[in-house]
Amino acid sequence: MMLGPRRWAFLGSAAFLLVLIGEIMRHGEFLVVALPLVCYLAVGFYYAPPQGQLRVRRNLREQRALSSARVAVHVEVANVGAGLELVELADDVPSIVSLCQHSSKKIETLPSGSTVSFGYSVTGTRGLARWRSLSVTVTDTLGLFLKSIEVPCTSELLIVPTFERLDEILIRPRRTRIFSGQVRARLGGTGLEFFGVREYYPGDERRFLNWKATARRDRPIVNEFEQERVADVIILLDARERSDVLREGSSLFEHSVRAALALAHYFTAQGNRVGLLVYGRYLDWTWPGFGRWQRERLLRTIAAAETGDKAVFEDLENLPTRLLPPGSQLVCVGPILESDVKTIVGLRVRYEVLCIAPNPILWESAALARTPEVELALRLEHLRRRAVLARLRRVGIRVVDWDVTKPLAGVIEGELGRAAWRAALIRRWAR
Amino acid sequence: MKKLLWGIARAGWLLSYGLLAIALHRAWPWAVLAGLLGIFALLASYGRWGWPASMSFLMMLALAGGAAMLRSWEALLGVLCGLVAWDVELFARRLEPFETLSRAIVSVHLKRLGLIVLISGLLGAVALNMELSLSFGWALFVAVSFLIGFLLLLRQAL
Repeated sequence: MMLGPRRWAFLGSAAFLLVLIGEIMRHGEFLVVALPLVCYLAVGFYYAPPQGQLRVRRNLREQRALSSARVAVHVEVANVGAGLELVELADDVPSIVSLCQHSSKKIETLPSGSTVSFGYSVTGTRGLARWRSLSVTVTDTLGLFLKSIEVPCTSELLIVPTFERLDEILIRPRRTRIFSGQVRARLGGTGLEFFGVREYYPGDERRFLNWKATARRDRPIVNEFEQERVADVIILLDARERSDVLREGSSLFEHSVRAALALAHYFTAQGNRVGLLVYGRYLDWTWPGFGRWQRERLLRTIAAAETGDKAVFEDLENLPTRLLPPGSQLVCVGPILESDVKTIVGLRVRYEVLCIAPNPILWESAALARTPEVELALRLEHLRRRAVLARLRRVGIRVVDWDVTKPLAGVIEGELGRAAWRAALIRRWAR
Repeated sequence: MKKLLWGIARAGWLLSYGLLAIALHRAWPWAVLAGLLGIFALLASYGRWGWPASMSFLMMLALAGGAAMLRSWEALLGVLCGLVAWDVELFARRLEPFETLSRAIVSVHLKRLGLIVLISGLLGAVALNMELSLSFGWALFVAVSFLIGFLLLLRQAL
């Protein structure tokens, strides 16, 4: 678009050339032809736009939204300086959101003291969208003068993917904190689950007397219950590009993100002290903490997580274990690679480890044509994966091999819920 | 509003090249060229091609220079129409990405353009009707004062 200096240079050159040709050919008619151009420039220069002073305010209807939800954005621009003939306003919409209704551009005349507003809607899938400024282009109506400015005006919108609410995950970290919670502390005291029996001490409640044991030992014996406390839970989100699997434009990492969100929500809601480490592009570490603020922090970090292919983080070897509280419950979220097994087994020495592993083979195979060769390859890959997961299970690491087409809540309840725990205990006693 | 602007631009091209073709009718190859260029300008306007508007305007000026030697009035009117067509087409193109337009934007622009056409028409008419014989000194004085005035205007604008 020919605007600003290009425009008046174009017209000025044309007028000058006409005058020059007229002078050379000694034909005054050329000057007459040049007259409209000179008048155009003269009138344009006379009405040159003054310096404007704009104030911008942007309102987002929500600060946090679920993916695919429409969020209305309202922009208000007030002119507190001299009147402006033509103002082009273009809101710089962040790349992670897309426009879904109306335009983020507006053209308007702005007399002194007037206000103009416009609105549009955006939608996105995941992440933290940051608006930084509003692009303003001030011109005269003829377009001979052009001034572009960026008026700073920041806003943020967190887009959280929809995630499932988990009902129950039984964890047994080696250490718990002193506050009461819902994690069994491997200590006798007040609680719900039977822990053992001991001698009666004065002050013990009579309803806890174990009459059968009392009769057998001929002295008062009481039941003891397992204390329930809060624990340190660290979620490790695997954001390495090499562990991600892409299929028809969608990514397995998105499922890991949804799982991490669900876990963060669940563990913070249970009152635990939850931390997060996103391992991929860089180490994105969120210190463990309690409560709603911490949950919000975790949701923000997870929602904005992106995969990365840094060579230093290619393997889990560089996991900063010094950051992780000793004896805490580690929850690794991501498809487990064969090369990760050694590191994860090593973590078992100091931590309780739980792996939520979206199954990459099932994910990828859904898009493959089922030929005999593919079937054979898939069988081999399944066997290999089963062997990898078995190596982890053998050292006491609980692994949930998650077919992402199934709801995570159901899979977790089946494998990490109370019923699964009891079944495991019964199996162990039976042996 | 946008339709009105595009309509003005197309009418402007038609009138401009039409007037030039009339002015050049004695030198028929040039008149045919003017006709062809006019058709091209109209096609470009209907096709909303970005680049030809300024090129058509330059072509029109070149033809107008030649036509002015044959029939000055038609040439002047042709240039005025061409200027309107070129300006309004660029303006319409500029407003194209915007969903809503206020009437004030268009009316201010058209009024400004009307003012330019009026002043240039009047000055052109005066220039074509009046004949003055100036000494070289006076001519130089007028040229220098015009140049200074123009530069002052430019300085104020910048």
